Amino acid sequence: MIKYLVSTLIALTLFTTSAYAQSRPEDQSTDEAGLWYKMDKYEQALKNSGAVIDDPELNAYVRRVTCDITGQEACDKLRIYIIQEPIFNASMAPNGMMTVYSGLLLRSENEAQMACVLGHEYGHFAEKHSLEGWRRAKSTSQWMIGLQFAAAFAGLPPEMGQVINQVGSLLFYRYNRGQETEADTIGFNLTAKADYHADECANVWKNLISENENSSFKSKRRRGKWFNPYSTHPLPKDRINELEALAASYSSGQKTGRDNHIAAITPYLENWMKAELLARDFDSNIYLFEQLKARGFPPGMADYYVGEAYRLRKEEGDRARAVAMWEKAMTQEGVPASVHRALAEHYRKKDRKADALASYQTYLAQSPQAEDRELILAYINRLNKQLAN
Amino acid sequence: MRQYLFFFVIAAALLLSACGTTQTKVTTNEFVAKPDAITLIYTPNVELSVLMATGLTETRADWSTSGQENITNSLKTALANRSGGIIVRDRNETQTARQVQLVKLTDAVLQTSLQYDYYGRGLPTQKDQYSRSIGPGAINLAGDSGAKYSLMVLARGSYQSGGKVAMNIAMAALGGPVQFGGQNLYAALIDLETGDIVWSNLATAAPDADMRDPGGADKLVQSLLKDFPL
Ligand SMILES: [Zn+2]
Repeated sequence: MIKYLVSTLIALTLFTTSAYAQSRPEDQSTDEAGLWYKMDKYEQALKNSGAVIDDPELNAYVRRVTCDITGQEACDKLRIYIIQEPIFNASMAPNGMMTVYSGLLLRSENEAQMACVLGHEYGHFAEKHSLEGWRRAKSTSQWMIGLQFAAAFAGLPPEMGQVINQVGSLLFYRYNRGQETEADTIGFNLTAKADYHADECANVWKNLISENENSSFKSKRRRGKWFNPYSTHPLPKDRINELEALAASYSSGQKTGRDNHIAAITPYLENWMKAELLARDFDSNIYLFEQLKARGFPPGMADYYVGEAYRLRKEEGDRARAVAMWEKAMTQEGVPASVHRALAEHYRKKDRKADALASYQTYLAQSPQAEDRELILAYINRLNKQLAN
Repeated sequence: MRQYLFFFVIAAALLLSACGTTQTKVTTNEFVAKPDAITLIYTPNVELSVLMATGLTETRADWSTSGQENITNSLKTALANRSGGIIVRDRNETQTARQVQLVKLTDAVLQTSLQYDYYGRGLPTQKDQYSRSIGPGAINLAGDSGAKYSLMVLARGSYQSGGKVAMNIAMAALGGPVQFGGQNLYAALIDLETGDIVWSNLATAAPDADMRDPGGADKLVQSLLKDFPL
């Protein structure tokens, strides 16, 4: 019965999704127009900031997947910005500005998983959740007036009243649980309607939980069960249950778009893995990079960066683990030139001069434009002299 | 309780006396206006909002848009006969990426200047001269317009809702927090060859100078440009 009800709901929502297209508000005196105005200015500032990746191919890829799920008419009204930032996140502003973080693209296994998250964000936009949130903040914050008067009666300093205000407005201007569930359902429906495999939406959250359970940081591991990047979103466990229930009720398409996704992301793989290391959560890095390899990204590249994570982690035995990963990477497809420099450093410190020299030379041969070229040449000269003596 | 009431009468008096003032600042460098120089005026960065009883402010698109139009027109009128010539450029119109970045940089420098040179540690009595620059790259703003200066204007304002007015009256009697709306107009003149801010001014609106109507904007711009050096 419940199952039947759920599928009816899905059918209904699928049927109405074409009404999702959002337009600029006409009456400029409304709170909604004010939100758009503010976001337009923010967008103007974001547009040419260094944080936006403007590579046309990557942008075309993300836009294509977005348009596939929202439909062309709605999609034409969206502006999509890809932000260079190693975190799992995406957002959608009430004026049609969508931001997609590189950390989300890196962590999605395929088009379908990316579509689930972008569809979720699009759901917030389509249902005007920001505006709802703002209106809730305005009305709920009425009680702050009472508190301010109470503070004034109690003879508290005037600044207290201002603090009450600021805290109060922060508390209420958020998406609530119901909006999140609605956005999840919309994200699922849009993804399913575009014929993507229905299981992939739940997989997004399963992957995130696993990654966090492998974190070096205790707080993040504890959050593993309920970590969510949006902080106000429902517990991942609950959302997995809901998304799995939706998937079970739906006769799924088979498309995942895995190969397209890997092809689109691979040019950025090295850059983005390097950026992930900056968070210094090396255990979770190692887990993620191993996953990337299993998902079909070039194994030599993944192994090299697993080695980098060991090198930076510096626990007992990590140096040996790093060297083992680099040596393994050398035999694999997609290994970056940097592996030769990493090994050369290691050989030099171990006084294996001939090996060090050979690796430095290979590094420069493969990466003649390297930033550290002068330094490497100096090492090569010194090693040459030492070996001649 | 009594002492807070006293505090608030003082605070209110200070706020009220701040109405309709300007604070002009010139740079530490000797300033000699270039003869017949063209000034590039960017449409101002404006955000006007309503201050609600709860203390939240809500941006009003219509007020902001008309404020921007009015201030732009007033600047045109006021400067039409004063400098070597003016060019007005829409800050959102298509420009080169470099120009967009420079406008952003200028906004940031203006905000910093406003915070430190006007509101912050460098109180007016302490220091009337300061040095701020967006760097020699500023010349890229000129493009092929031949402009020698650029005038950048930032406007912020909020207006009390009816509910807020009523609440303020009650609060003032109790000695609780009172928030007034207000309008500020900040302008900086940039030498496009050096990138230095050679003149700046902060104008606070008097009650009758509301930038939402053309007459009010004229008044505000007149006080803003009182000591304009071109
Ligand atoms: Zn959400």
